[in-house]
Amino acid sequence: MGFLGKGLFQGMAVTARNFVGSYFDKERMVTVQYPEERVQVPENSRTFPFLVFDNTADHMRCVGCKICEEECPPQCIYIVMDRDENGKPLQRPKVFDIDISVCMQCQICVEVCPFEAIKMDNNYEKSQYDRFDDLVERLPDLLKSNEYYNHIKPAEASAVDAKLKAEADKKAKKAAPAKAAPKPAAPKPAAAPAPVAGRLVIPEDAPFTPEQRAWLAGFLSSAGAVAGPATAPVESAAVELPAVEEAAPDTEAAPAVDTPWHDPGLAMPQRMDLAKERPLADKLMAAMAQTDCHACGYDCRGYADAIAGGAESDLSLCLPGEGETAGMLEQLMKEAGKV
Amino acid sequence: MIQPVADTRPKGLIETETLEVSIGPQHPSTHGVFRMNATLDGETVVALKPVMGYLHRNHEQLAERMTWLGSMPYTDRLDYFNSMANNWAYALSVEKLAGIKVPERAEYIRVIMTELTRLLNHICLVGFLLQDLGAWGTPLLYAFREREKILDLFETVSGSRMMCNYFRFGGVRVDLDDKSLALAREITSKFPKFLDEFEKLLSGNEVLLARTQRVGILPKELAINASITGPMARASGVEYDIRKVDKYGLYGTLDFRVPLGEVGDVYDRYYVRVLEMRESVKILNQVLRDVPAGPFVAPEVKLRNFKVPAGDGYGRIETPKGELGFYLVSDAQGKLPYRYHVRPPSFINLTILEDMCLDHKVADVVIILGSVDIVLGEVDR
Amino acid sequence: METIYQLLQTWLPNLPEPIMRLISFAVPILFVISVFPGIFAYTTLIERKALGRIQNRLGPNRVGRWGLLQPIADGMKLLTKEDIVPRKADKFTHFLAPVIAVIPSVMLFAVLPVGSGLIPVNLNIGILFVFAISTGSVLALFMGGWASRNKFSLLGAMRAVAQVVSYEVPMVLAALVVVMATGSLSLLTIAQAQSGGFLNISNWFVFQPWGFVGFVLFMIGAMAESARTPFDIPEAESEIIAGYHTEYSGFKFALFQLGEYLASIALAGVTVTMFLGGYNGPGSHLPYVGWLISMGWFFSKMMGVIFIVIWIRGTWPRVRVDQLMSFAWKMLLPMSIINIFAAALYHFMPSKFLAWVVTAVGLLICWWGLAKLNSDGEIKKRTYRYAN
Repeated sequence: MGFLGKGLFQGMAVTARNFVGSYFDKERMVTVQYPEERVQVPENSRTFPFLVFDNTADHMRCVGCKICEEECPPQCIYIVMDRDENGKPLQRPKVFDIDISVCMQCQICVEVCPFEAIKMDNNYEKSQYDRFDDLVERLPDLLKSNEYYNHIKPAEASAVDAKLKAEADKKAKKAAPAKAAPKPAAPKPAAAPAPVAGRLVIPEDAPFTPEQRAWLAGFLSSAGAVAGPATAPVESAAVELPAVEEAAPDTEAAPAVDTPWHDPGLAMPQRMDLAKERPLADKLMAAMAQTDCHACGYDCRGYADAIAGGAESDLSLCLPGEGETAGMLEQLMKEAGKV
Repeated sequence: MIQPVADTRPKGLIETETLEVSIGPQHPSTHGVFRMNATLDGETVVALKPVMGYLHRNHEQLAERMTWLGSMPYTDRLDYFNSMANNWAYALSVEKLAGIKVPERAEYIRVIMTELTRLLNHICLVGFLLQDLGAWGTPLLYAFREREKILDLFETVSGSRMMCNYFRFGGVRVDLDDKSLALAREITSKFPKFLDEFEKLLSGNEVLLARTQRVGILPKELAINASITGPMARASGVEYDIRKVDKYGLYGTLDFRVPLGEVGDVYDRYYVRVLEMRESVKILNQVLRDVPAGPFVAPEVKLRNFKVPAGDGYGRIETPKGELGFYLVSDAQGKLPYRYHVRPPSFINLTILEDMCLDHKVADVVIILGSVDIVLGEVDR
Repeated sequence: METIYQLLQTWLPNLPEPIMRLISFAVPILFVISVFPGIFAYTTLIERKALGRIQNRLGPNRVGRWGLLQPIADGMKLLTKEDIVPRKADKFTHFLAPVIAVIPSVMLFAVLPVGSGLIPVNLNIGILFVFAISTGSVLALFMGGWASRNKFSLLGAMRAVAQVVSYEVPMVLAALVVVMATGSLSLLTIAQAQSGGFLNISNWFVFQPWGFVGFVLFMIGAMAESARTPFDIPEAESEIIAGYHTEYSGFKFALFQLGEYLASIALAGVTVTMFLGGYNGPGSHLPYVGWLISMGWFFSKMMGVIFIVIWIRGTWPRVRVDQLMSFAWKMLLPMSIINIFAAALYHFMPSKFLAWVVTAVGLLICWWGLAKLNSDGEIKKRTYRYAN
């Protein structure tokens, strides 16, 4: 165990240089004294998602198509589409919850959104005192303006604005009659944000059977909801309960209209099977993605009618359905001889 | 439970007892929740059994219920130090299975990111090794100072410092803009100077030499028989680097050397990594010089409803820790994986911990574990 | 103490005898009790800030401006912590160990000359007292480990005892050189022997070759005695958590830290006195203000030595326990014995200049030779080859 000591003193020279340099050189003193000073995060930095609206909170871009809910890997998003008294879907979400204690910040929801409605925020100071309810962000918390989006991510937001403007110009040129403004302008229900925020939760360990839970949840939600539609009890049956997984989240259309395939949880072969003996318009409707998202400018029923009636010739407008729907629509039109 | 180990050594004149000690899972130096049941005779290790599984998060089964794209953020969290490298291994496996060709610009970007990750990982390892040796934080904090620069670059490019989720099948998620490229060039140009200062601090340090030479020797045949890969195998003299063997990505066209050690002790593993860092800087200089224009992702790949043809395949890359491989089986439907298996380098490299630690002191066990370079996210998945 | 007694007799001769004696006892005691723990408290802060600056970060700076109230905050925190004693521990030993750790360290300050003529107790066996007392703290290490009833603590305690006991031998032999040169064991006399010369500096023993080697050996021994890196095996955090003081919390832990740091400061003071000239420096011999200036020199030199110890802590990794023992017995011990011979040679050679050169060269050759003998040829820089 013998050594001469030369390497040891070289090491000491390095630390001495760092010690002295820490008083003069910014490179050698890298401390940022939070919270008085903060590091300027780069533009692309991402933490949790938020929803973008243009101009006012009523003009949110999200149409409730549920693509992000489907693609989210840890399943942290929960969406319920807003419907009017007849069960017809309005183009906005009634409930949009993101549980940020589950969210992995992976940004896949942003990538798959066809409407540029959900974007990533860069706010990282989100600590709360309660672990469960306080960490679920609901629709009023998530809605932020386009100006805010331009403020935090100028380059990305201006690219998105340019793209949306180009699309709006293209659509305006087509000037189809049954089309509303490109952004979903729902008839303003009296208290769209307010009742959404107050939701009663049945604890996990309450001793109810699944059927009792379903009834109780429906009862409670209809008791609490203000502008809720008649089908609210059935719809909220699966509101907060991970146990009830068989009940598809939207069984909205089932009681109202006789279209058993109108369920986005069903796959294409099953939907086509359900619409086997039906007229062409029904079969076309079964080929859509069943989200009533109005990406094509209609709801699913309206688009199918428009194609069957000849008013709409573009078969690729179904964004959630993508190529699968477009291919099936072509096939159906070919079979019907209408090309 | 600690199982008593039969003591088969010849008995001396004095009766001694062995002491059974559990190092971990709560320990400052086990690099995560990891436990070793060590049987000690005085200070010498007689037997050592690693106990893993404290960080098991069921990654492989989770992937069976998510789409192919949905597993990508989870691969970031396997080896949480090198998220870009994990992403590449998974993307490579899926591309092999689905037959997707990656455009050239994307290949360049992938190599840049992975070599920067290699720099990150090796400098961290050196820092942590010295922390275990007892230099109270100084080399570690110098290493983290450099790591911060690279992490800031990752944040600029992909949005997140560690869990990047940057690679996609057929390319990368967003393009590398000029500002990020300039930042990458700046980091690469300053790195050799930092490495020189670091080596002056450490590599001649006699205490370091005395503590790490002839400690934890791994013979070459044992390394090959135990499927050890990565710098640990190369330090024992095994000439195996997947970048040279498989020539995936751009590595077939790049000019770099693979350093090898001879003895296979802790010092060799440490020094091979230092040399690999210099080689990585060389690769980065070559790649950063001319990144071609073009698409950054293969245009035919869809994000949603992405289907992979039926079959199985194994894709692997040389991550900084060793060979990370993904064995994927796709069924007829092709939307979700039927089976998804990860071959983690840290887990396989840990299997010979006992052989390396026998007849060493307790103090050496900690630094041998440090030189194996494990990350518990990978070991336990 | 005597200085104050004489001062009182000169300036206030009318005071009764017992009161003069009382004052001349009380003042040094108060001085030691207030100044040195204060130095300890601010040494912890200086260490944290210096280590921080070495590591490119700020040290503590939140509690009070520049962190100056940090030691008080630390003390308050440790005082208010719950005192946990393991259920099956030996309660009496558990209680006694920290106390025995502190007492010898405090007693060391009694023989430290802080200024010219200013020493609390001028024992004529000063150095012997220092070594005898500092050995007493070894007992505390072992008691701490044994009473905790914890395998890791016991391991740590055994290692600590082995380390402290083996490093005392070269330390004592290194100090012996100074005793030989001055012919007295009293620290005050040793300090006085280094006064005079050019600016009161050139007579320091560290500038002699045997003094320099003695200084290095004594510093290494002092670092090992107070368990500082690179010899901090007793509290090697990454291996056995905290060694012999794992099971101590609250004030008892504070007492262990106090004992260790005070020992380190006291041994730094002894090093300064023996090798670096003690309180001597330019201006320390002046008539009326000389004592104040000499006190200033003593404290600044002591803080300088402490700073070097902190600097070494921030740079070097830890030595393994068997390497530590072999370093002490195979390198340091022969070197210290050779150093004694070198000092004797220096003393008996006629020309001082020639003596200086000869002993310097001789010691260098011996150091190199010992290093060669001890290295088994395995520790060297290696070359690495590349594949294909």
